Amino acid sequence: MNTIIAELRKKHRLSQDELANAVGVTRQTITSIETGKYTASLVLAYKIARYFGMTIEEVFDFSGIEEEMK
Amino acid sequence: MTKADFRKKARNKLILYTVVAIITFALYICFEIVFRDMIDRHGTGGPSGGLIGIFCVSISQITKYAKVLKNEEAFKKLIIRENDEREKMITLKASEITLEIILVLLLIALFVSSVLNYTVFYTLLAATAVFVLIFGIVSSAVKKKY
Repeated sequence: MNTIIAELRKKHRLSQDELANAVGVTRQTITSIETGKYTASLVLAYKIARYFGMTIEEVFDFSGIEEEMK
Repeated sequence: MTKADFRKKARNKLILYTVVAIITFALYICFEIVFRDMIDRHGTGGPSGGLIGIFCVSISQITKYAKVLKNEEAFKKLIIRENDEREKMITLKASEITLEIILVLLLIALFVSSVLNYTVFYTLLAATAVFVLIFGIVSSAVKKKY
């Protein structure tokens, strides 16, 4: 799943480690989410979106899932 | 899990591993010193090795939990490491694949042993049956939970 976490981090001048500590996961988890290797759980997705003051849909790209549902 | 819950869990683990370390050390002393002349070396070698292994693991866990309970930074890192959802998923996936590989290897060993040796065959058959039985029991217990 594509996300805009990397861009948001750059915009907020945050390292992966800082974001990981803020949402309670390891740095490797943030790396995997950013590269699309791992899909965050609903709770983690909510924490990340909330951290940036956005909604889950704004941070995570659900277009693939919407295509599947058609 | 809250920080307080995790701290309580860490304290309980520290106590548990301390008890395990004391028991294994006492048993090792019994095997090696008290019963040394009563049991032949071949008989005590296996249990003694196992006890040393359990003792070493307990000591490493005691060190880990004692350290994190004193150091707030290490405590936060341990919470993250032990609750990280990706790490949990990796463990689950690895366990699932390992389970399948073990079952396939057991079936191959069963086939080979049925031709070569019946004692080995029945031992492996019992091991496979216990394996499948435990899997069934655990699966139904987990299904009830979710």
